[in-house]
Amino acid sequence: MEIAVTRNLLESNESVAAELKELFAHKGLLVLNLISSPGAGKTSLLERTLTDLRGEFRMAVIEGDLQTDNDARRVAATGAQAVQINTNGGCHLDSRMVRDHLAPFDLANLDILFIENVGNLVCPVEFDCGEDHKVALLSVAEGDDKPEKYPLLFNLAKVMVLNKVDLLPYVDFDVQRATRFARQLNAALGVFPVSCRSGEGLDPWYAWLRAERAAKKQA
Amino acid sequence: MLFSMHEMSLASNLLEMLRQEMEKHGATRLIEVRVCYGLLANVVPESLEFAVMALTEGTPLAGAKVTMQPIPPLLRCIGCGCEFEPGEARLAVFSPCPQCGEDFGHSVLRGKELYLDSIEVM
Ligand SMILES: Nc1nc2c(ncn2[C@@H]2O[C@H](COP(=O)(O)OP(=O)(O)OP(=O)(O)O)[C@@H](O)[C@H]2O)c(=O)[nH]1
Ligand SMILES: [Mg+2]
Ligand SMILES: [Zn+2]
Repeated sequence: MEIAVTRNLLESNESVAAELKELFAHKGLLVLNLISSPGAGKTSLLERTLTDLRGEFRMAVIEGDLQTDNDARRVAATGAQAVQINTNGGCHLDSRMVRDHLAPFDLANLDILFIENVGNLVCPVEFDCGEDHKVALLSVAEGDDKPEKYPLLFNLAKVMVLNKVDLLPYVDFDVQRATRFARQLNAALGVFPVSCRSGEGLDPWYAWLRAERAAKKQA
Repeated sequence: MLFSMHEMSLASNLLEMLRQEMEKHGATRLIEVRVCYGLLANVVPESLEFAVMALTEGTPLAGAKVTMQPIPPLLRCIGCGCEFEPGEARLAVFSPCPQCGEDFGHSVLRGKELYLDSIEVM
C-alpha cells in the first residue's frame, strides 16, 4: 500500500523553535544565535560584549560545542551565566537541545540570551533555535569569498560581524568585496568590522544590541 | 561509506515520522521510503540513505528501500523577474540570468525542500 505523506524533515525542529519563540516573546527576552566557522571569534566577541555591557544588560549564554566546556568557562569568567551543550560530534544546535538546557536560567530576569552555535557555516543555519536573529561572524583570516560560498547564512542573518580587522594589513581580505557579496544576498544586512583583540569597532555592534533590545522589550 | 552527523540527525527525524505514519495507517512492514530533496538543500543523499540504514538496523523498519528524488532549483531573477533553472546547482543563487545576465541576488522559488514524500508499506 502506498501512502502519500509530504512532511518536512525539519518539522519537529521548527515546531519546538516556534514554542521557544513564544516563550522568549512572553519573557521579553532578546535571543541571538551566533554562527561562524570554527575560530572566527564567537567566544571572543561574547567575552568583550559581556564585559563591556555588564552594567547595562542582564545577559547569559548557551554554549554549543562538539566537546569540552572551555568556551562556557571563558564566558563564565566575565560573570555571566553560561550553560554548555556538548553535541558529541553533532554539527549544529537544534531547538530541542536549547529547550532542554533552559532550566538553569531565570528567563524573566534576563535581557539578552546569546546562543554560541557549533563552529560551522553550513548546518546551524538550517536549524532554527527560536532566536530573534542570526548573527553571522566572519574573520578576515578566512577569505573574503565566504559570503559567496555559504550564501544561506548571509541571506538569513540580520547582521554580519567582520572580526579580526587588526589582521587586515597581513591578510588578503577585501572588506568591500565581502560586504558587497553579502549585501547582494541580503540588502538590509548590517555589517560591523571589529577587532575583539583591540576592541576597535565594537561600539556600532553595541548600538545595534541596544536598539534590538529596546525593540524586543516594546513588542 | 559516507557518515555524517548532519544526515544522522535528519534521519532520526525521518524515522520518528515513519513510525508515526505506520502506526496511523496500521502498517507493520516498511517497504520503501521516498524522500524529495532540493539540490540547494544542505543534504547529501547517499549519507541520508546510509544513516537510515544504520539507524533502522535490527528494528522493525530494517531493510526498507530509500529512494532520494532530487528537485532541481528554480530561481526568479532579481533584475528582470524571469524564472529560470540554473545550470550548476551548488552556486545556483549566483547563476547568470539567461535573459538579462544579472548574476546575483535571485530569489529561490524551488530547490531548498527536504521532505518525506511517500511510503510503501504492508
Ligand atoms: N588577531 C585577532 N585574533 C582574534 C580576534 N578575535 C579572536 N581572536 C583569536 O582567534 C582565536 C579563536 O577565537 P574564539 O573566540 O575562540 O573563536 P570561536 O569562534 O569561539 O571558536 P570555536 O568556538 O572553536 O568555533 C583565539 O585564539 C582568539 O584569541 C581578533 O579580533 N584579532
Ligand atoms: Mg567558541
Ligand atoms: Zn534577468
